[in-house]
Parts: sequence; structure tokens; C-alpha cells
Amino acid sequence: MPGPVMPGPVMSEGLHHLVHRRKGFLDRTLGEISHVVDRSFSAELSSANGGFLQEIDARVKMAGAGILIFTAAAAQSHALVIGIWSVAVGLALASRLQWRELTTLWAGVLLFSGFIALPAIFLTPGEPWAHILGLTITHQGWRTATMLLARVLTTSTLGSVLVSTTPWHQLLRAMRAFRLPVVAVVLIGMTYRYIFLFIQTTLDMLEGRQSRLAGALPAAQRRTMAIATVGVLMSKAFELSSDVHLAMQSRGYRGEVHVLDERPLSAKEWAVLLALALLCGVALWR
Amino acid sequence: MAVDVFELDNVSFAYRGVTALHRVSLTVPAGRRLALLGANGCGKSTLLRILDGLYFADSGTVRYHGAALTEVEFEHDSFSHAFRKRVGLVFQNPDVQLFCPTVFDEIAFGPLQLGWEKDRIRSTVAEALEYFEIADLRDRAPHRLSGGEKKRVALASVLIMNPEVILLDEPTAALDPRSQGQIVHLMKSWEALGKTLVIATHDLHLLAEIADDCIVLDKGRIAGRGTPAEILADETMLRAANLIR
Repeated sequence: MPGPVMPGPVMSEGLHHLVHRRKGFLDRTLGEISHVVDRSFSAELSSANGGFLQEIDARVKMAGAGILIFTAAAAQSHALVIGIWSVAVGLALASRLQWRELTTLWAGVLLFSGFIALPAIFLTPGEPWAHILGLTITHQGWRTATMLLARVLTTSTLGSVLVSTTPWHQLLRAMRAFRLPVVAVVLIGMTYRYIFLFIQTTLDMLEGRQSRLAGALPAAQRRTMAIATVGVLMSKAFELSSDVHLAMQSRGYRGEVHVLDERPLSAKEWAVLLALALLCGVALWR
Repeated sequence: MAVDVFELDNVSFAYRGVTALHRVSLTVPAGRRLALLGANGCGKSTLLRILDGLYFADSGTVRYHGAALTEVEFEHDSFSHAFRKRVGLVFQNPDVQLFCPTVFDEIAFGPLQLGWEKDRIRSTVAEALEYFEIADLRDRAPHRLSGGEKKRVALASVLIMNPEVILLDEPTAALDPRSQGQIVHLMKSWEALGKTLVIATHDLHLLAEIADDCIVLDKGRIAGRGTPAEILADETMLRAANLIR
């Protein structure tokens, strides 16, 4: 079945330029938000691609990712963690995810985790392994740091593959299947949905403001305008939340949300999950 | 003689001291199409929310088939359930009404809250998707839809419950001509089904097509009433109500 036809990104090209051209804190923040929107859009597109994982039930994917993440976190051997990471990369490629997306993720993960792991190389007591600039690297320190990096790399890859190959609403349904309270799932879904509306509203306000400005404003005036924008958005948010509640009431909502049940997992899907759990259990035990 | 679905007697309502409706009295006969006309901020949306039991009058009485619409009545599950099943409101801003992750979930929301059988919900949602020509949008997120598509999904989410009374707040506002035509076509088709429609609008050019009776509101008060032809002929009143220049 072909994937849904997606309209263009939420923000127009013109607005992108507008956001990037500005220098203020608020504008930079909005620029970053626009990237989040675009990333979410590309995630929706890749989840509609007809790859390997896109054809699998979201609950199976979520449970499978959970089992692999637990195994990577509990593993004591580098080989096992790297093995799981290789599986994750294989699944990503079989699901037609872009290399660039993966490498961008890994660069960020290695950078931030590297800062945390670096001191462990030198500070962990143990058998000396090498000397750099008068500092001693220990075997134990090296092992601890690389294990941390491998685990973070593996778990973030698994998480990214799951999110990139599963439409958002299916992830929500999968959460419900794992007994997350319905209210929590509905709240997450509504939050996600209305964040986009407010981003669009914010960008519209900013564009409206920009179209009436003849030149750069002094910093103090920019700050005043930023505060005013936040105030207007807050007021709009309250009004919208009240109206959404009325719209829910109008369609029979009485304080408890009712949702459609999912079809139960098939025997084959259960078998795949059990086999994966068994395999991971054996790998951990050995 | 047609039975009155709604009877309003001297209804007043204010938002934090600002009057939205002042001593409004009207009746809505069953099977008729009543247009509420007025400029922005004249009280049309407030009146629709009062008719839908979302707001309650500060003074005066609102009756639905003879039963008073009060907060106390809506606390009873049986009354609330029966009323919500029979009266549906389509909000002016579809973003208010479309809060679910997918179009399918959105349309299924009402029937689920009213406790329909799950199989019945699945089949009725499928029929609604076909009827409103939005089957291809089934798994799409509502925030990714165009204005016309959002409006049709919002209508489907209310019409799926097959209400006898449909309250529509600016159903054709901010739509392109094609989408506007589709919505008008749908509204006309409900006439044959015997639905009672209350439509808030300021689109005078659509009046003859979508309404049998009209009420003109000006600053929360009734400024005129009559058939579309009578209302459109009274330019002085329309000008005073800011409906024409």
C-alpha cells in the first residue's frame, strides 16, 4: 500500500530564510524549533517508506527495541553491544533510512557522551595501559569509557530507528498496548498535535511583526516585543485549551477517554518476540 | 405544525461582565434551517454554545424539547448522553475540534465516548470517510490537512453520530470556493434528511441556499428576523448590523 501523500514542510522556504537571517535569541530559538518541525516531517516521510520495519506492527517494534535496549544496557561484553548496534544499523538500512541521518545522530551522541566518558579513561584506577601528556590511561578506564559510548550509541540508534520507521499515532497506540494509562497517552498525543499549531502561530506572529519593521530594533525593544509575544501566546493557549475542552464535551466527553482496542498480537508476532527475548537472555547469560 | 426543538426566553449571557447576549428570545422549529447572521463579535458563537449546552445562560431559560438546559441536568449521565447524541456542534476553528492523532481517531472519538459497539464504530467511520470523500486521509494527522479537508473532517466527526440538530459555526468561513461549494452541497443534502440546522454565518450570498429562516444579531441583541428574502431586502437593518457597507 502506498504511503500517505504528505504536503510540504510546515514552514515555507521564505520563512526559513526569515528565521535564519535574524540574530536575536528568540529568533534563533524559533529557527531551532523550525528544524524540529522539519525533522518531525522527515520522520513522518521515512515512516511512510515501504521498508522492512515499516511493515512490522508498532507494538512488536516497540517491544523488540525494548528488549534490545535492555540487553545493551545489561551487557558486560563489548562484542555483544557492538553486535546489537550492528543489528540496529542493518535494520535501519533495510528500512531505507538515510546514512546521513544515522551519522548525524552518532556524531551528536559521540560528542556529548565523549565529554562524559573522557575523564573515566584517566581517573578509573587499574592497570596502566598507555601514557598521554603525562596522564596514565588504565585498562579499566578505557574499557569503562568505550563501553559507555558503545551502549549510548546502540540505544540511541535503536530509539531513532523505532521513531523513524513508525508513524506517531502508531507509537501512541503501541504505548497504550503496553498498559500506559489512556489519559497519559491522550495527553501526549494532544501535546504533540498542539505544539505544531503553536509553532505555526508563533511563526505567523513573527512574520507579521517582521513585515511591519523598517529596520533593526534596539535590544531593549526587542526584549519587550519578545515578552509581549510570549504573553499573547500564553493567552491564546489558555483560550484554545478551553475551546478544545468544550469541543470534547460537545462530542460526549465526560472526564474519561474511551479508545478503540487494538487487534491482539498474532501467534507469529509473539513467537518473534519470545525468540528475541530468549536469544538476548542467552547472550547475556554467556 | 413543527415541534420546537429549542426555545429561548429572554436569555442573557456575559463574559466577565462584557455582555455577549442580551434578552434573546427565539424558537428553532424541527426540520428547519435557521441562519444566525451578524458581524464578528455579535454573539453568534456564544448563542450556538448555549444551544449546545456548553455555556449556560446568566438569566432567562433555554429549553430543548421542553427540557431546561441547565448545568444540573448535564450532570446526569442519561440526559447528557441523550443530548450529545442528538445535538452536534461544528466549531468555527477546526483546529479546536481536531485534537486526535489521526483522522480515523478523530471521527471515532464521539461514538467511542457515547459507548457504541467497537465493530459498529469501525464500519460507521468507514462509511463517514467515504461520504465526506476523505477516505484517503484516514491515517493522516489532522494538523497536516488543508483548510477544506479539516472542515470536512470536523463535519464528519460530528455527523457520524447522526444528530437530529446540527449547529454550525461559520461553516464556510476562510474556505476556497470549491471547498465552500462542497460544504454548501452537504448542508443542502441534510435538508432532505429532516435535520434541524442552526448556522452562524455572515456570508449573505449563501443565505438563500442554506437557510429557511434568519435571525440578525447586533451587539448581542436580536436586530431582525425573517426569511432570507425579507432579511436581504432590509438594507437599513443589514447596514446597522454591519453586515453590508
